[in-house]
Parts: sequence; structure tokens; C-alpha cells
Amino acid sequence: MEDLITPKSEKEAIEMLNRYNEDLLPRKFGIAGKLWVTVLCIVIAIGLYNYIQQLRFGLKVTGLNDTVSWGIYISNFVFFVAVSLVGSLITAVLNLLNVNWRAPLTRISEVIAVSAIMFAGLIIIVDMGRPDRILNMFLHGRIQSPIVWDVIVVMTYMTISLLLLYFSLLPNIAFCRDRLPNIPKWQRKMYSVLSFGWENKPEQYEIIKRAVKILSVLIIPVALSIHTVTSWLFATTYRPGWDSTNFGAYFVAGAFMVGAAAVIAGMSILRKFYVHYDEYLTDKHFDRMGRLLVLLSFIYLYFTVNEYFIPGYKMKGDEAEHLRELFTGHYAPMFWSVQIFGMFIPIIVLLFKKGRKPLPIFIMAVFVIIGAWFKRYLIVIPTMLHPFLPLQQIPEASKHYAPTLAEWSITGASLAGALLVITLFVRYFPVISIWEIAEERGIHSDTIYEHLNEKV
Amino acid sequence: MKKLFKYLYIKRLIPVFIIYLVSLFSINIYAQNDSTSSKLQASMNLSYKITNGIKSVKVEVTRKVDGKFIPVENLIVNLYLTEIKKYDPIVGDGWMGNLVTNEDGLATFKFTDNFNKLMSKVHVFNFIATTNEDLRYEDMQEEITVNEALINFTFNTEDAVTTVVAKLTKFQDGAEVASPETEMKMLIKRTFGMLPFGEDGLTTDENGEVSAEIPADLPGNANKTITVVARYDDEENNGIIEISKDIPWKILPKVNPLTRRTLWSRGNNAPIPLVIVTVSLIILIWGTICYLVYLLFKIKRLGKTKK
Repeated sequence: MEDLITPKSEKEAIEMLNRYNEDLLPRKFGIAGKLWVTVLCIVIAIGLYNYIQQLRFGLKVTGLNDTVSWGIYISNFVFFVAVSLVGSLITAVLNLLNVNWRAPLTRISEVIAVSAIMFAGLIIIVDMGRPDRILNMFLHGRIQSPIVWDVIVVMTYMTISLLLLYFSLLPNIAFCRDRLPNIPKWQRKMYSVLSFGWENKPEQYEIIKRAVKILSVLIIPVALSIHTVTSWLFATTYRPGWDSTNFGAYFVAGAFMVGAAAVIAGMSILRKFYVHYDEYLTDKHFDRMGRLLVLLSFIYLYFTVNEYFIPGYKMKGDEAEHLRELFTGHYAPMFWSVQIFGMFIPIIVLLFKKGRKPLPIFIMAVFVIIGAWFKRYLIVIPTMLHPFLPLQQIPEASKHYAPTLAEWSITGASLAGALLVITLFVRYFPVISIWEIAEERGIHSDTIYEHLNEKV
Repeated sequence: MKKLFKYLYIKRLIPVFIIYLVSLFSINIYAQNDSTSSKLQASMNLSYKITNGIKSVKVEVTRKVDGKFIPVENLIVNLYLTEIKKYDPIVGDGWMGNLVTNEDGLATFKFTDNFNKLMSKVHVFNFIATTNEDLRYEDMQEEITVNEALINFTFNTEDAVTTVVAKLTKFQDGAEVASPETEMKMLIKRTFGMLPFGEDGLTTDENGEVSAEIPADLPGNANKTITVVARYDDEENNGIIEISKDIPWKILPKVNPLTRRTLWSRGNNAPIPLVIVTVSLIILIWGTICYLVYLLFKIKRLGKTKK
């Protein structure tokens, strides 16, 4: 960024590095942090209890039925997949474009991506009802099926995201191993194992840089594939609302938008609860991310108009009935609030410089995230209830869908689980990369390596 | 001042946020409206069928809603033979059993071998179906009387042309007699339905027989057979009588659907281009991932070497 303070001498550079250590090394949570972890653990425990009930009694504890076989579990899966795309956006795209303000954001986006994709995989297993049969997917799966493509691409993306996070984290883990004072033995042992023999050698840094570059190139097509293939799960099925050639691009655009909002929310929370983080996550970062979010929201708006305007103009057959349900029917309140609060208001607010200040942008980001979750609900459930084939001669219970408390609690637990992964990461690892910040601010690599090598 | 501004800002935003959340949850989630009253009227239909010698009685219960017939499920129907009374183990008439309608509003009673033996000399059946004191529907009763009829098959093959001769007989005063001038259907079972063959309006001759040639160019099944069906349909008097037989057939399907490589085939019959593209992508991407894992171990190795 244009206002970066670059060191004028080596002494100044070392002073800066010492300050980064002070500010960015992980530290124990205060009361608020502990309370937050407790709340998350309680939500997860309730979800786990209900999941055990689901394992015992089957999917009958859910509101799923013959008509709506994909409920909020699948909406939640699509939401997680969408959020996970942020890793590729911030790290890979901004890295390849050589954007010089990305360093404080990369790890936040990577850890959000990893936790989101982990729970996307888990929620699919939850939706299966019989998780013991998951091996059948690999033994008897048909390569023609988008479900098999999705399984492959989710596993691939999860692996790449983990590698991307891990490679750039290695020096920081070693730094925690060598520098963090007064930590329990298990924690030091964990750092020791995870640092994977890191000794701050220039050759090791060269390997990291090479690996991150390869991963930045590799992750973009895989990230685009994961959300495109997820959209194909719907688009390859002949149903009103899903029978669209626009779906791949539409899903990817929406995913970038919610991913950017997730990073903004993460930045805001970190800045709020960590002293000195405002020096790294500055107002300019929020301003830039706000502009990026507006751009992505406009792209998403464009695809949304395409998605609804053309079928809405023709209003043919079952498609018309589906659209009427969304525009003026049972789903209208949800549909319009998702569009207004989840897209139009954020666009308008973020167009103004004042709207891109940390507090308003945080609120807008939360609007976008909530809207994105319900948008996925609107993609899945109304279409499931309105197949092209009329609902004839089916049990009464299969004509409706209302998620049960068990479903809500399991879904809530998955969201809490993703947040807990991010929270624990923040607790035990530097969430802003010290060496990347130092490099971005013009400190010479040799000085960084030397400084990082000093063991305490 | 800044704090005040922030406070006011949040205060203004909170109601907006609440409206947002309320609007997201204030929906009723159902596919269609439906209403029920305490006691409904429904209609019942009885039919009799013999398929390859297996006799059955089918009950169908429906009710009319908005001009459409919808099935009535989970309804208990009592089936009687000849008259409504307890089962008579000597004669075999009386209560035959309970049936419960399925989600399509259907219930079928199949005659057991013992029942067939007991009824071997009876050729006129009177079936009565009743419902009693159902909590949802008013009581119903329906009756059907059928005279037994039979169909027999013979096949003749000459000069690669196979002719099917089907003979229809009915029972009159306990004796089996040919049924002349009766319309029958000759059919061949195909994947999604029945293909009629022979002349239009096939009618039995004075011997109760109809004959029809099977089209010689018709492809058979993948297992080198063809399924021929003869059907007589007179629900009011005789019910539906159907007989079918698989006969050897030389002409195989032009393309065996089980061996075609399509997007809708089984996994081992996936289109080759799709397999090549998918496997290539997996090898390319996972190969790169393996290389990256190798780099990780290289980092570890470098860590062990002296500076």
C-alpha cells in the first residue's frame, strides 16, 4: 500500500520485526474469548447429541421426505462451499496479480477456506443418513455422476487449501516453537511436530515461495471447479429453478461475494479483539475489501438478473409456478429480504467511502453472509417442493418441508464447528503472517531470516 | 462525538437487522394447501384378474378433491366371497381377509394354492368388499360377479415366421366351452409398454381361437427371447385374463443398452472421452499435489542439514 512504513536502516527493520512479534504472536484468550469458545462448544454438543439420535433412528428425525430429500443440510453444504472459495480469491488471485496490500488478509482467508471446506465435507456425510455406506461412493460410484465429481473436487480442494495454509504457516509455527514463552509442554510439542523441521534457511523459504506460487495457480481452476460442479448437482437435474445454463457462473459469482464478506467479518472481529491489529488491518484494507465486495456484488447482481429475469419474462409452465412462489408466494418475504438486505443495501452502503469504514462494512458483511445462507435455502428447497412432475399420489407428509429442531441444531453445530476451527487457529497460530508482513513492508529477506532464527 | 455517531449508527442499524432476520424466518413452508374434515366420502372399485393362472382381486379406493381423484391410503377393506359372513372352511366362501390400501389407494388379494384347490370346481365368483367404521371415511360396500374364463397359447414356426394361436374358453353350467366372436389382444412386451401385433380388432373364430404372426423383424430382448402376451378384457363379466410366455428369438436388439457407453449407463460403461478427461485431470492435479508433498519433505530434509 502507498502508506507502508518501510525501514530506513537495519536497526529500524529489527525494531519493526520485534514489534510484529509482540503484536502478532498468538496469546491466551480473555474472558470474551473463553466465553465464545464455551458457547460454540455447547452448540456443537447439542448438534452432536442430535446427530447421534439421527444415527440411531435414521433421517426420520429430520423433516426430509421423498419430495424434499435435500433440505437445509444441502443448503448448508452449498453455503460452506461458497465461503471456502475465498481462499483462492484472496491468496491466489491477489497473489498472482501482485496486489501489495494482501499480506494481512491471506491467512485469514486461508483459514476460513479450510474450515469451510472441512465442514462442507462433513455436512454431506451428515446428509447421507448412513455414513457407513460412504465407501460405496468410491467402490460403486459412476464417473458420469456430478455427485462423484463433487466428492473428488471437494477432497482435492480441501487438500490444496490445507497445503496452501500450511506452507506459508511453517515459518510462523517454528517461530511459535522458538519464541513463545511460558507455554505448556503439549503446545510446544505441537509446534515442534507441525513445524516439520523448519530452521529458517533461505533454501526453505525458496521452497515455500515456489510451493505457494504453484498452489496459487493450481487452486484457481480447482476452486472454480468445486463451485461449478456443486452448481451442476442442481443444473443437471431437470427441475424448475435448476434447469439453467447460468448456474455455474452464478454460483461462482455468489461464492466470491460471500467469501469476501466472510474475510471482512473476520478482519473486523480480529481488529476489535486484538490490540494493535488496527496497525495491520487498517482502514485502507477495509476500504479496498469494500470496493472488492461491491465489484463482486455487482457481478452477482448481473447473474441474478439473468437467472430470474429471462424465466420471469417467459413465465412458462412449472417454472412460472416456481417463480410465483418466490416473487409473490410463500417464499417472497425470504426472497426479497435476501435480495434487498443481502445484496442491494450492501451495494449502496459500500459505494460510499463512509460505508467502507470498519463498522458499517462489518455490518454489511454480516448482511451478505446471512443473505447468502438463506439464498442457498431458496435455491434448494422451493425447487424440491415443485418438481416438473406434479405431486400426485404421494403421502401427505411428503408435500411439505419444515426443518426439525434436530436439523437446525446439527446445522448450527456445523456452523459453530467451522467458527471453532477458526477461533482455535487464532488462539494457537499467528493469524497474520509475520514474515509476509515484514516482506510486504520492505524488510530485506536476509534480515527477516536472521531475526526469525534467533531462538529464545 | 465519534462515539455518539457510532452509537446512533448502531442504534439505527439494529432495527434494520431485526427486520432482516424476521423476514427471513417469517415464511410458511409447504407445497400446497390442504384441508380435511372429520368424515369423508370415498369411492371403491373392485376388479378381478387372472395372470398366467394366478387369480387376484384388486381394490382401488379414491376420493374426489377439486375435481381430481386422489388415492385413499391406509384404509382397511374386508373382502368376502359369495356373501358377508365368517369364513367357511368346507365350502371356502365367506370372509377372505383384510386388505390395507397402499399410497396409491390400491390393495390386491392373491388366491393361494389351497384356496385354488378348494375353488377348483367353482367358476362363478361373487366378491364383496366392505369398509367398517373407519374414522376418516364413511362406510363403503362394493360387489362384483365374474364368470371364469381361460386363455391357452400355442406357437407354430414355419419359414422363420412364428404364429401365435390363443384359445379363449369360458365356463357355462360348469362346462368349459369355446368363446366365439370375442375381441382379444395380442401383445409383445417392450421396455416401456406393450406393442400390439396382428390385425386390428382380432376376434375369435367359432373355435374360440385367434391367430397372429409375430413381426419377423422385431428385435428381441438382450437374453435372446421375446415376451408374447394374449389378453382378454371384460371387467364386468369375466375380469381381465392375461397369459404371457417368453419364446426364443433370434433377432437381438440393435444396440444392447447394457453395453452402450452413455452418461446414463452403469459406471463401467462410462463414455471413453469422459473417462480420459476425468482421469487426466485427476492425475495432473494429484500429481502436482504429490510434488508439493515431496517439497514439504524436502523442507524437512533441509532442516536437518548443517548451515
